[in-house]
Amino acid sequence: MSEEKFETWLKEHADDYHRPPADVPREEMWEAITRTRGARPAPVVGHIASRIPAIRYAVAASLLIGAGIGLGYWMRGPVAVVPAVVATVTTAATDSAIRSSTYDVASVNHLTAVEAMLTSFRAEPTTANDLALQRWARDLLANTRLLMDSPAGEDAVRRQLLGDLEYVLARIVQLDPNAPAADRALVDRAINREQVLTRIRSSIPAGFPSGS
Amino acid sequence: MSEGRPDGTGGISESDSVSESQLVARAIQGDQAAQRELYDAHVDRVYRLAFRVAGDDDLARDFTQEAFIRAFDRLSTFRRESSFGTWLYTIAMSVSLNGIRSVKRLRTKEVSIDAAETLGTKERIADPDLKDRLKKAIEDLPPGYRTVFLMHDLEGYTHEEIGEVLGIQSGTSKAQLFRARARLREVLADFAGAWIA
Repeated sequence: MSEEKFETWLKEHADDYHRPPADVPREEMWEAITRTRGARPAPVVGHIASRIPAIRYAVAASLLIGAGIGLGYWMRGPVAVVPAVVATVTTAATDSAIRSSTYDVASVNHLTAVEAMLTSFRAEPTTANDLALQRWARDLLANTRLLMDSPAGEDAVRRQLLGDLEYVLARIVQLDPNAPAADRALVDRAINREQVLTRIRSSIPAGFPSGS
Repeated sequence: MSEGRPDGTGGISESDSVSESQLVARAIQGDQAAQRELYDAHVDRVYRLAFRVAGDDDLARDFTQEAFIRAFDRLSTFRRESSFGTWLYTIAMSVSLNGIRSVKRLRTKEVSIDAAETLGTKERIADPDLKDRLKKAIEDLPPGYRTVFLMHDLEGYTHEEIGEVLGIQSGTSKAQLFRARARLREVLADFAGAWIA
């Protein structure tokens, strides 16, 4: 009985928690959705142009994997002549190191690109290039999410950084090209507050080309 | 999954499932009128869910928009194993929960900076009233418990619906709701007189 009373009381009182307004801003949200989707180039099915991003990503992925494998071998040090049995035992560990290095290199490349994008966003005083920046941010947002779901996201610090980047990039993607300066300032503030650029730079090893 | 809400906000009934299927097929072809119909049928529920999670109009709008953008972008991958609504609410919950996680991290840091700045100068605050205590108690629930509690007790979803949207068994949803209520009852024990009366 007391349980039922509590449930009734709870439902009654908890309904005030994050209670949505009665009027849903349907039209405003629909406009924002169509504007965002319309800002993207329409896919041209069967045309070579539609394959260019895929080709570009495939080439980039191959280069990254190649670089990762190279780095993995480099980290192993000079190759010595060892008995075959030792090579068999170390294969699993080496594979793991190569795999890990590949994702490390992919992450660093990605962070460099995000740094370049965010630096451009902050340096651009007007909204003239917002559409190009939004397209860039959208690509980076997709890659950020892919990395978060990959073994690269297993590192807690990197995962948190990627999570913050996801938030900032999503805000840039959703930024209305005609939005007042205050909207851009909000995104800028989020970048500052979270020290996103500083954290990205500290995640990029010395000697790696900077994105800015 | 029944999609009509008792309060009549949004949703497409079972009898409309054929036309919904046609709408989805047209929307995949890029028919904006069909996309708009799907949007109109579901936007209220998506927005309400997003608002319950975020507690903020701007964020709720962001999450709702992002959910629809993702859904329309990926519509060709919709397998029709569940209704369009269930598929859409799954996306909406994923967007909202991931989004609020990022926002909370930013806010926590902001609050900790503010707290550090006012350290030692803060006056004693009077005990928060029931509303504030209840709000804090809900916010302190583990994320899984809170999500089920919001969906079931505040938005009226059934355990079967919650199970489909969150990808859990309906029994798990029931167990989480039970634990959520038990946790709230324990934390709010000071106010026992209010519900016993």
